[in-house]
Amino acid sequence: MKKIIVILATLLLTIAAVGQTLHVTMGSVTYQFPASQTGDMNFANGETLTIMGKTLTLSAIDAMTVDDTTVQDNTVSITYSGTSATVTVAGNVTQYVTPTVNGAHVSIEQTNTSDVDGDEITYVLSGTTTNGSFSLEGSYKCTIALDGLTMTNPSGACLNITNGKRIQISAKKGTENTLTDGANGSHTGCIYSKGQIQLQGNGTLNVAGKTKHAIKSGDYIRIKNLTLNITSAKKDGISCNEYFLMQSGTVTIKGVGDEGIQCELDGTTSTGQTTDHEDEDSGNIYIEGGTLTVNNTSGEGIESKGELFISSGNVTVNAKDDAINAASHLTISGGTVYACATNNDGIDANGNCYIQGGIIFAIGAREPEVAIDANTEKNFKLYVTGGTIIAIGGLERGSSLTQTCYQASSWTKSKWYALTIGDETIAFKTPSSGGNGLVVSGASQPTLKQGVTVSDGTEVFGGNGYTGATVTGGSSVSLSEYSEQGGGGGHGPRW
Amino acid sequence: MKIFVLGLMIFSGVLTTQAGEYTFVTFEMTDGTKASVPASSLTMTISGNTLKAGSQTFVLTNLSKMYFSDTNESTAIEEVTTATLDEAAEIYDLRGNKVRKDQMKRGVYVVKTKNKTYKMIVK
Repeated sequence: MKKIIVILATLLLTIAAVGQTLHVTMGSVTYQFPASQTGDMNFANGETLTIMGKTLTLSAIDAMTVDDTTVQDNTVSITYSGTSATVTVAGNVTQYVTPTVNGAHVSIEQTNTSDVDGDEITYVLSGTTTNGSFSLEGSYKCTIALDGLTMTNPSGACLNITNGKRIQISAKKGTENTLTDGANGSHTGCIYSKGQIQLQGNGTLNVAGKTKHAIKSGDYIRIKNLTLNITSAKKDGISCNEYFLMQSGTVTIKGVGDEGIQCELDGTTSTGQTTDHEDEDSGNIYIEGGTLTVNNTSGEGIESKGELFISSGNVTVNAKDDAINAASHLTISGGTVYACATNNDGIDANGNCYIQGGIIFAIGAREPEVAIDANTEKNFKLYVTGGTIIAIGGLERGSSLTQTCYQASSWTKSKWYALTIGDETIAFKTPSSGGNGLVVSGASQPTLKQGVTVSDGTEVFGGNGYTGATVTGGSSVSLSEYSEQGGGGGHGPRW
Repeated sequence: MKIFVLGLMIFSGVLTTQAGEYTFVTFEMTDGTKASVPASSLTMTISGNTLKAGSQTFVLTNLSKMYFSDTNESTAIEEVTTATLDEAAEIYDLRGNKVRKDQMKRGVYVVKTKNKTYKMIVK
């Protein structure tokens, strides 16, 4: 019996590996038709040949060959090499895809794919080009899989997607992909999509935007798993409409000329947050996981034109303007957040600011800026109901501090402090500059030491802190209850 | 165990169907005649009005369809009679060039009549 099973299993593996394919090559494009799927291939008037619904002009066919290649259904592969590119189209999607190749600039027009098994085409981009691009037209969702792509387009966007539907851009596992657009162009992003973008995959994507944004979407952007490095942008690192959602992955943004991440309303009226973000147009930013690092010496780190929510993840922002800003309410309910502004507030809500959980180290610039701000002038408030807070530069006046906050009379620059709440110690290094006042808060009465030596812990706050820290030495810092009327100055909204 | 083996056998059968390798590519003419060429490593090229597939050459306008097949479905080559040649509407050489009867030298030609298309060897 065992022998039979082994034989059958071997036969299975052997059979699975066998394929038979008709390749039809037309210039830089090759259509691959699996023999098992072709059926009748019909000629018409000596002018055309129709295979699997794709009508090909006979005079444009360079060659047709049959070999044992196995075709991956639903796949279009684009391989770049210097200033040229080749396109290979799987037979079952040929009728939906019209490729045009000009040097290494590849344009795809994609029609209705609702009849495709699996309902989605995957475009696999690989290779290297110094003068190439990928453009996609159509109105049906698809996936762009980056499989070790290094692309520079001196005259425009690298990925230009005018398809208004959801596009998944996936960096394949273990691959590093680098996209650089040209300077002084008219395009709006090194990666541009008219529609929604889901950035995902277990690979790495590096993006430099030399004309405007590094990544621009006319609709929402979601990020999952991906390691995304925005290495430069003339304007925003990531710019989108409707909403921005980071679920997991590692995103690092630096060298931008405007905001690190900016999300705006697409229309004129906000839908607010919707269930599962269905048809949402809120301008909201949601950070629900992953590691997000923004270092911005020009503008704001993260800016939402709606509300901003941080519920989990590791967020580190260094910015010239507000490190984290929401045009409306801002809620932190979890995660680890470091928000340091050199010229403005660390965390700034132009509506209410809700601190409900998480571990937060916020640093505001000199007065009137504060570490954590809400728009008191418009009758909004800072509400502290939970979380562990370290705030250099104080809190907005008129706050509602359900969870007691404490203030040190002074703080010393560039020193390691240890904040202990219960049996948890968080070590943090004070900045070289910042506003007056050091406010701390936690679930229970904290103790604070300064001048400690840190020997262990989990690094957080962009290297400026440790959770679960082991510290020695230092001297105790006197803490007094922080008055909600005290602290920093507070001010009106800055958008 | 028996069920497992049976399942494997059925699965194997399904895969066999899906991954079946064909022996020929068969071309069917507009007059219904067929010519099969071995599919293995087959190369087809188009030049002018002809399609060359392996050792076979077809006039494009005579082709109705092609398909992968397990068997050689070639229609027997019919003898070309003088009468047939007289009826020839069009004669092509293997490069797809149209030739006149008085231009035919040694070689292979495709002779197209009103009703049928023939392959003709001039010795």
